Amino acid sequence: MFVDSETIRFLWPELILVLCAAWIYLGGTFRGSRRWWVAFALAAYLLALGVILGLEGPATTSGDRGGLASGPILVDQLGMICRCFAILVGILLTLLMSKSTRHDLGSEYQGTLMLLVVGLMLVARANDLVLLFVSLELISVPTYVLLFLGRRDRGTSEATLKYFLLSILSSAMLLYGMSFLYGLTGTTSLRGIQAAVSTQPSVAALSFASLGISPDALIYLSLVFLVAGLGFRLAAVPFHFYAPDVFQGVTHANAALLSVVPKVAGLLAFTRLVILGFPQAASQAWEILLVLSILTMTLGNVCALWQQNLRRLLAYSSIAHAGYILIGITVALADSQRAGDSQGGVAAALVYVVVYAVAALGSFAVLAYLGSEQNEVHGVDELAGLARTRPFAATALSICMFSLAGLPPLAGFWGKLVLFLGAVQTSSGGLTVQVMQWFMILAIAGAINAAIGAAYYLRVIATMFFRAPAKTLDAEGGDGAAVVMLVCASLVVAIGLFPGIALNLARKAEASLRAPVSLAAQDPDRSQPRPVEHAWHAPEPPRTNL
Amino acid sequence: MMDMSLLLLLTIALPLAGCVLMGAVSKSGPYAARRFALVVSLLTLVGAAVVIVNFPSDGAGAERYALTDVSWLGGTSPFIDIRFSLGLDGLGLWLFGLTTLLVVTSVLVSWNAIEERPALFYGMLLLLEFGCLGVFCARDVILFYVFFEFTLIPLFFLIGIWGSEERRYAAIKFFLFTLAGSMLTFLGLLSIVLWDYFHSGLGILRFSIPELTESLSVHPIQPLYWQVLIFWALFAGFAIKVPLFPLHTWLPLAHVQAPTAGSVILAGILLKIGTYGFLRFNIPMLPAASVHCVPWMFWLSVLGIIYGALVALAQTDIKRLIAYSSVSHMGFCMLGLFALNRPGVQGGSLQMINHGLSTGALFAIVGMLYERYHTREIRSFGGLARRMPWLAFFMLLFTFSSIGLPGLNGFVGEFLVLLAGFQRAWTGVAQPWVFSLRFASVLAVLGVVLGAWYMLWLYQRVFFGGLREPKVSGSSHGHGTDDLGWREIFALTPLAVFVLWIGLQPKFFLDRMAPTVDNAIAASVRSVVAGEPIAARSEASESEASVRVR
Repeated sequence: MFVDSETIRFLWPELILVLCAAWIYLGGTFRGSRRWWVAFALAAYLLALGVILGLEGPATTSGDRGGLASGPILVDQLGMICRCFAILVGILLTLLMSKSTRHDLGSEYQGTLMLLVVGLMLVARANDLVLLFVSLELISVPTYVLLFLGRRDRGTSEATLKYFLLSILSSAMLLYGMSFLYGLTGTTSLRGIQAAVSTQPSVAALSFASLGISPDALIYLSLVFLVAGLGFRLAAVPFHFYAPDVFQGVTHANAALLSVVPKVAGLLAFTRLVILGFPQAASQAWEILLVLSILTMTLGNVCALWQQNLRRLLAYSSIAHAGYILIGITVALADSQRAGDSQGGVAAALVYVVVYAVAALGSFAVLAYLGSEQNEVHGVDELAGLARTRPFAATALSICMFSLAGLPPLAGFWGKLVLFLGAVQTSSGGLTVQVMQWFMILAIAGAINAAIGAAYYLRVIATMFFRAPAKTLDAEGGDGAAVVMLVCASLVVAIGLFPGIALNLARKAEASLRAPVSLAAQDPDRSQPRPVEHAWHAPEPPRTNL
Repeated sequence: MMDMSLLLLLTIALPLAGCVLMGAVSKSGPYAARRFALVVSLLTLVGAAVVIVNFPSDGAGAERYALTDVSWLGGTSPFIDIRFSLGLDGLGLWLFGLTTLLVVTSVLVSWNAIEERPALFYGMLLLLEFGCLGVFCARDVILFYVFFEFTLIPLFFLIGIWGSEERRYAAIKFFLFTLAGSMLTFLGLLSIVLWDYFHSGLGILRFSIPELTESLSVHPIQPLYWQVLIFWALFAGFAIKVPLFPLHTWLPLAHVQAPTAGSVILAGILLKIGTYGFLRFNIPMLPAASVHCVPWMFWLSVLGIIYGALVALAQTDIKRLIAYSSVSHMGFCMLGLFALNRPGVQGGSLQMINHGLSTGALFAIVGMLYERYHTREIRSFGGLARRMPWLAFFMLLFTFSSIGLPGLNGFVGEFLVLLAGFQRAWTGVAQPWVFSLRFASVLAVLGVVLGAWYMLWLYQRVFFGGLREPKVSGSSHGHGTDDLGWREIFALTPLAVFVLWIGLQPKFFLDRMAPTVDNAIAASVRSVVAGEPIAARSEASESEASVRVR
């Protein structure tokens, strides 16, 4: 069976959220109060978080660190941590959007956002190509709706349409890449693909071979499509073109969403699909990604230097940070052939994406807070003298921007630390001299980029602190935005001072990713202790129920 | 007796607490902020004094003095062993004391000068003190780096908000210059940590500075070209901070634009972080590369000495002149350090303190002049000695200190440095470099002469001759063009006392740092004594490099 009762048991938090989302849609037609639905959504998130921690915390943290495979999902530490983070992002976005929507659309907004969070949670635990794709779409489709709901003018329509078309294209590429994988291996299960690719070629692959096409070539072809599809979500060069225009066209809250959610999803999909999926290709893929990484961060940072529009600036900054995340993925890929302990590439990318997300959400929250529904903050110059007129907002924005620039003792510094540590580790202990040299270039490019990146964040901070106030901003973004800004700034400082928790969690997540997976018992009777000897050792038989 | 490690922690944390409380305190009156800042900085000074007085007078056992050492990351996986480790040893001891002393001076010289947002100003000043104290006590690579970079943030605001006309440009340039270099330093530090990881066989990433130093003396980084590469990576950040000759362009700008207190701390303390970094990391951890790079460092230092002095001669602005004199003096520090022998490193370290005292005081005096006349043009002054004898007295004292008059501190430092330079140039140098090093060390003496020239010339133009004063248009501070008040005398006197003390009894200061200094250069001394000529080494390293690439 594709899904059994055991699987459903693991899906309770997601089910709760989907049900709540449906209830919000339904109830919204009867009761329009925006505040009520925000409160309801927050309660739903907290309930789901409680269920995750209460029901599954013990199951995944105890015993062996490897996960349980149950149907199309995988229950492990990585999924667990990322789902908690997805809910945190959901809560923050809910608060952030609590005032920025039109009053009559409050319930639609919250319901759509909740579905999107569910999508993110499912990406974190997908163990199957189909589920992975569907959950990525569960993020994309609500995003289109949210972008349209945010504001209804020509700029927004254009931006949304642009995002919609390009996103569809990237999904198609992703799907095409996945279809190669299925064709080659005859299974949609990720673990099955991993096993099949590394052991015996499938019938399909053999038939290709008889035509004179090496199965390896097809794997690389598939890899290129996957990188293209996921690169769009990360906003990596050359799939980044949409970002500045779309960010500029949408509201601050939606820009926050765009800068965070697709990145987390893209990273998770990369982790599950590429790093685990097919190690042989991974050993070649690091070359592509290394080049993409250098290009992405350089282009993002250099283009951001000239931006006068704050959302455009943050869009380029988000591109640059995608480049940094790619450093982690590259390290993990180059690492995947080695036996022995990992060099922490995945953990580093996870830490980085989390600290980036918190700081980016905080920055957008400040901007959303400073504007009002009629007058949004657009230009960097509008922030002049903010330190005097709105000292708290200015301080929060400075903290977030210093963190984005990677200055100690803020969270962003630790993100850069673990990334550079991985890159330098590969450059001084890689498999071949060539690998070492390339990673040295990567590390140096990252370091130089950190300095370039600091320039435009400093420009914003200098505008706020060193210039005389130009005009008074409305600051009617609402209490929700103020809370998000406060929470994010505090989180940035807290992670900066006590980075141990985040770093250790990320390491655990990475360890669980590499640990062998056991199959969940099919037996619904849970009073008996489950046997654990179902270690994965053979490819699944080809599935034909697609 | 109080536990020294606790006292050290409290001393470091006090400015931070002061900064946090500043917001609340400053609401209780218009002058509350500056009074509170003075109290906090004085308390910090007292704390530092107690810690320093209890320091073993022969410097023995300094590695464990006042040590606090706990794991920073905690958690169950000890894979990354970053430690929260603070302690004082001979290298950081006097810089630590100097920091607390100069911050008191800075608070006092800003007393009337800062009218705009005083709470934020003094908060940033205390935050800067916190960062500097942390740098000199950190015993962990990451902790050091955190403090190292952290000092940028408060100084960025100090320059950017309270500076002169071009303050925004100066602040951003200062910040980006330093950051760009220190990112490369960061990579270098990580490379050192990872070398230890791959060769210690412990399977832990260790970040503790003493452990790394020890481990690298057992497994020195090989091949030499890799060590040299890491050396230059560390060099990038530290040399910009010092600043060494071609990387100094941010310094005059930042100094001229910064408010007086910012200049005092920038010149007095922040520049020392660069030389301190060389002394803490490059020399002990990369001894072979340090020996290898001696000619480079000699020439960069000497060029800095001469160039800084010549440019200082041509300045028309007093503050700019003193800023360029810093470039020249810091060249002496670097020359001493990279003589890589005992007098050199001791002299270089002492010269850091000397420069901090004299240049810090000179910047403070320039600030006092500026407060009275609102200009710093040399041309517009003359014969001030008659009008302000106290100011003239202090200026003369620190000028003499700066040019190295015997009996004052500058003489001891410069003498040791030049001696050590000659010693290095005439012994233990391989063939192709002999002439070059000898030439460089002789040229360095020219720096002393030029230094006397530009400083005494400045003094003569401003304080002697017929009285010439710029017109003061309605002084806002009330004391017009009076001589120094008690507050200002109190700000300068402690510095003057130390100028005399170091000049008359340098042994007191040198003894306490001697064992640590000996440890720091032990490895590089060994690699010189081992007698491998530098040129042969570099050829060997090139052939190794080519083998590796193939």
